[in-house]
Amino acid sequence: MQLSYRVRMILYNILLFAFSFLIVVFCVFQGTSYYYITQAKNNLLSMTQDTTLYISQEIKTTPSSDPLSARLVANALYLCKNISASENNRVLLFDANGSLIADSVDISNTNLLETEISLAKTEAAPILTLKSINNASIAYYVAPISIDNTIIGYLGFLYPMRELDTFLHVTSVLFAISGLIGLIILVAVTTSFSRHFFQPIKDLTKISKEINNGNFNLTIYYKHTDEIGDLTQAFNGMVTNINSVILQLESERKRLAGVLASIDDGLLAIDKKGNIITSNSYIKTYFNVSNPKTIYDFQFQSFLRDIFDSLKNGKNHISEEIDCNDRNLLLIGSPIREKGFEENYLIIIRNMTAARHLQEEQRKFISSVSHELRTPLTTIIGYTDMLTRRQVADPEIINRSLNTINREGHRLLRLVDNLLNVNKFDKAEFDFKKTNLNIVGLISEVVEQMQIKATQSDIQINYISDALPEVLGDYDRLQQVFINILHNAIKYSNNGDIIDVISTLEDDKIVVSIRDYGPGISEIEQKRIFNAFYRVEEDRSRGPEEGGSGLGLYIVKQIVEKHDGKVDIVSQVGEGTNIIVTLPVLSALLYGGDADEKPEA
Amino acid sequence: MKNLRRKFLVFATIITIVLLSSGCENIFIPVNRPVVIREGVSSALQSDQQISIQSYNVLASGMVQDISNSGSNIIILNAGATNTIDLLNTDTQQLSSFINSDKKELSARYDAHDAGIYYIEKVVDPASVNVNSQLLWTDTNKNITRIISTPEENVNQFFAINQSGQVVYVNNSNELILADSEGNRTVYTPIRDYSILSVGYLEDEQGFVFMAYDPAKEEKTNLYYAQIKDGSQELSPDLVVENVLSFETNPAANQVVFIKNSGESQSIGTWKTTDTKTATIANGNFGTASFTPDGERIFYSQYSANDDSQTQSIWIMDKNGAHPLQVTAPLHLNSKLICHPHKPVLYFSVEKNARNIDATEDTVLTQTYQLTYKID
Repeated sequence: MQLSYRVRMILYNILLFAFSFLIVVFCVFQGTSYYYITQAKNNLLSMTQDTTLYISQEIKTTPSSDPLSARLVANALYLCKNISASENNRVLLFDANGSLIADSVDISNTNLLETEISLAKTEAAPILTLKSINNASIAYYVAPISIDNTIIGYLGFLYPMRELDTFLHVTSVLFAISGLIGLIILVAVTTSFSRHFFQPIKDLTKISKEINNGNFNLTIYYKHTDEIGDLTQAFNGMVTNINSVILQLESERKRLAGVLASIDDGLLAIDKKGNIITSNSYIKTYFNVSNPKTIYDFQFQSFLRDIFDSLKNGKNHISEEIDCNDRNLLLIGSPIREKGFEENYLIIIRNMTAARHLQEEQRKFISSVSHELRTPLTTIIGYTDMLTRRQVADPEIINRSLNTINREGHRLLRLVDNLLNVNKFDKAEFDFKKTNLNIVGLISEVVEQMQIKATQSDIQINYISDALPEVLGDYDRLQQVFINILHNAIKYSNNGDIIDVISTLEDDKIVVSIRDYGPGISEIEQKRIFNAFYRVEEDRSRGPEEGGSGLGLYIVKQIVEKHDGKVDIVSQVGEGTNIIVTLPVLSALLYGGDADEKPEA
Repeated sequence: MKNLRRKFLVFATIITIVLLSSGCENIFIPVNRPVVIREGVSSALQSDQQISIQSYNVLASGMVQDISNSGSNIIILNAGATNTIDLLNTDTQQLSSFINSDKKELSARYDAHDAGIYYIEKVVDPASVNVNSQLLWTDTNKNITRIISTPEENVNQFFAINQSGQVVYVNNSNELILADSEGNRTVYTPIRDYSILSVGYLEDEQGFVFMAYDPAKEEKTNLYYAQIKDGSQELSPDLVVENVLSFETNPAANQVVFIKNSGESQSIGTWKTTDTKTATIANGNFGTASFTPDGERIFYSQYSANDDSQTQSIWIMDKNGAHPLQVTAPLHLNSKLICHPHKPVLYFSVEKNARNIDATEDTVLTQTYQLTYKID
């Protein structure tokens, strides 16, 4: 059974207390006994000396021819009584042979100091025996009576050591009481103190568990600056540091997640076992798999597993293009190798659909431009060939041919101008020359200009306008906007149709709608119509000579957007098309050019 | 560290169990086992000198006062129905009466030439009914008796004789008087008023040694020394040592032995007039101390430690405190220790029936003893 630290501490304390207490008791008892015994010994020796001198004095005082030993025997009882009286002790006198000759108390027991007498006779020195009779300590003492260097007899004392007994008795009782009280106090104090000492440790344990559960905002309060205080402080410091490191890591993680999320590509990091380390939202977009845990969660995307397997097998770089869910995806796989870490793998999924579409658009555009360039050039070359080879003399034919060559040349020039414009508008630094201008005047001018062309197809352009405030804009470019729109409207209108041009003020914006009643545009085409190089199907335009470069509306959009405006299309197949241009009025703009500046013609 | 702790715990446990099981057996002298004691009572008793008592006799009843300079007679004072000063021949042990008076003699001393005896007698002044002590001198043939002190004087019983035969005494005016048997006297007055208890005189130095109450603190008695300077009768005493209970001078070596009270115990100290400091030579519970005539040894009495009967045993030691030897068993000593001037003989008086405390002073029997010793 493993005892708790606290219980062990209490037990150790009790053991230590008992050990120390018994050592103290032992030392006190032994020391005191030693003191009393030494004192008794000294007293007995002193008494011996006094008594010897007394006996000597007494037996020498009375003149006699007898030897001293005989005189001792003769006066034994008298001497014994007197010595006993003066020394206040039981006294026994023995002759030189060790036979008892007098006892101050009782002569009947002649064997009382037998052992001591025989030893004293052998050793010719005082003998002391400590005896315990009826729980009383008595020193049995015998010493030779040496007068004039002759042992004339022996002197015996029964020396009660009452003081020693009393002391030991009293001390035993006191020690027993104090030991018991001390033990009770020790247990009480140790129990109380151990609770006090262990409380911070308990707190530490509790808070450690809390921290283990992820709660890093806890600290321990301990007011004293002792060892526990140091530990608490160190612990609090550690928790704070861990907390700050965790916050830092969290912030790093968020930043990384932000970076990953902001990447336009799908990203999949996989460890060697196929577990997903990290992925971003595009994974769900591309593969419709939420929070994948392993690579095997992609049940329908076997190509991902194939790439993973290839990387695991040691391939360094894999690039593969696949079609998936109407998307064209480029998969790039590579291993992540870092010293000291296990090899991981990264698969990047790039959506190439738009790029491919743009490539297609460009391809179409180049094809279209080539075609557009080729058509007038073929016409021009044909006519010039005819004129060269056939030697045409008919002035009408020559005139018509030259007109055609001229027209086709202009068409080429227009095409090239448009291409140049597109190129120009694509550059960010392209600068418009903006002035205050009257949009009604501008549109009227364009309508008037385009009416000439419309009239050729028996098309009537009606222009209605409210009184409109000025706008800030490039006169020539805005003219171009409306020319291009009306040009398209005329192009896709049937003979005898009308085109309605209406300009109004709505919510501080000038809204210009150009409505034709041509074949209309499908919804799919509506989305693409403002794209560069896009052209509606050829058969919708009124004739090959009316075919554009596919840049007209793209240029329109670019110019309008450069004027902080927008261009919309409302159309239905068979019901015509309404192109709506919205421009901000001058007052709505915080900046402007010179109000007096006249628009360039 | 853990191992060490475990070892300590095991050790502590074993010790605790052993101590608990063995109880508190005495380990110095085990019970029921005889022990031979080789050592003496104390280091003081472990002496390389030995004293043997040649004889120990009762000479006469009465208290010994002094011995003649020749050593042939001792003065014994008897107080009883009549007060007598007897002389005892030390050789024949014949007792002869010297003074037999109805007045009480307090002390008596031979003069320096054994020509006469100075003694103190209590007299009642019939006019004032005051009891005074007067100093007298009577020649050894008992023909001439002179009153040395003046009638106004009340003489302190502790007086001294110097080597030229003069008597040195103190009167009730705390004057120190140097007088001879012819009636010549010189009065010396200490510059401060000392309440003098006893006096001694060192002739070579012409100095008074006296014990007096401390003028500043009356409960203690100090030893003072005052030299006669340029014949001046005014004395400037110097404090020799404080808390002195008794003292004896030894004119042969110009030295003083004194018993000093130091709290619980006492000490025996010596001082020479040439020394600036006194020397403590023994500590214990002492009654009286005096030099042997040659000044080489000190006889002293020591109270018995182990009873309360106020008995004193007589001891002798070298003047530096070495070689203490016990001379007698504890006795109820009631006189000074008088040494024979030329022989190793000691005279002292002992009270008998001393336990009869309730008896009046007169009924107490005092006996003078002669002790012949030999130190090897």
